[in-house]
Amino acid sequence: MTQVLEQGLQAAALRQHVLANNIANINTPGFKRTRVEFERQLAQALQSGEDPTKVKPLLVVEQDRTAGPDGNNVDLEAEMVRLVENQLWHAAMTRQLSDHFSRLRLAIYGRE
Amino acid sequence: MGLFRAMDASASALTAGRLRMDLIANNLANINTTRTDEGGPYRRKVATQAERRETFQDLLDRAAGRNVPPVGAGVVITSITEDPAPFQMKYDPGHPDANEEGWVQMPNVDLLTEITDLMLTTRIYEANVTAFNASKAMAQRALEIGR
Repeated sequence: MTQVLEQGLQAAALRQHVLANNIANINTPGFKRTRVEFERQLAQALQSGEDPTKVKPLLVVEQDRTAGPDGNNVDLEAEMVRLVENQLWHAAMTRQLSDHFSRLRLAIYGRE
Repeated sequence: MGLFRAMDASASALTAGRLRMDLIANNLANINTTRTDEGGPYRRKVATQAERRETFQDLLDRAAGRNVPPVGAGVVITSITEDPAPFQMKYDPGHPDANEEGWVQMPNVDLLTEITDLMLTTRIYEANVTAFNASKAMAQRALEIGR
């Protein structure tokens, strides 16, 4: 369990880096946004019974659609929303890890 | 660690934003400058930027065999160029730099363009501050694991 959470935290840190880079390049001509795919891969691994600790986050450069006249396809509002989502996701995982360790402490010492 | 790289990326955007604001301030300060060292009126300065592909830290980590994800490291100002747009002509026969017909060549700085650029740069700067604070908060939370 801690290994999967650790992987999730690493994916969250990577996603944070990708989002920070997207936001930093909001005004760079020709820049294409990158996204991180992790949850789907993890869910697939868990369903098919593969080792979930082997799942690696995937970086996808989006060449899409809503590119402006300068070829930049970063949407500031969407990126800010993803930033907040990522922060909450990261917070949820750190909380789970902390809870896990306090349960272990409880089992060892009989108190929190 | 990913979060430190995220903070580096945001910081590079803050540096770029600050430089852009300096240029805008300089353009505005010289909106009436008709004499420069190169001769002629002041030309508006513009910055061009590109994605920063990697930092020294990335190269060092790669050389040490550590895994470096292929994500950019923020933004970098690649050059500061002069706007080739024509100078504005102003009729002012009393001006020392006026030609025989009384016209003065004024800088190609447009107040409206500079102010809108300044507002845009300010908002982008704020967005990057928010991204930086989010990364910092996440790093601090990670330090609290197991407390």
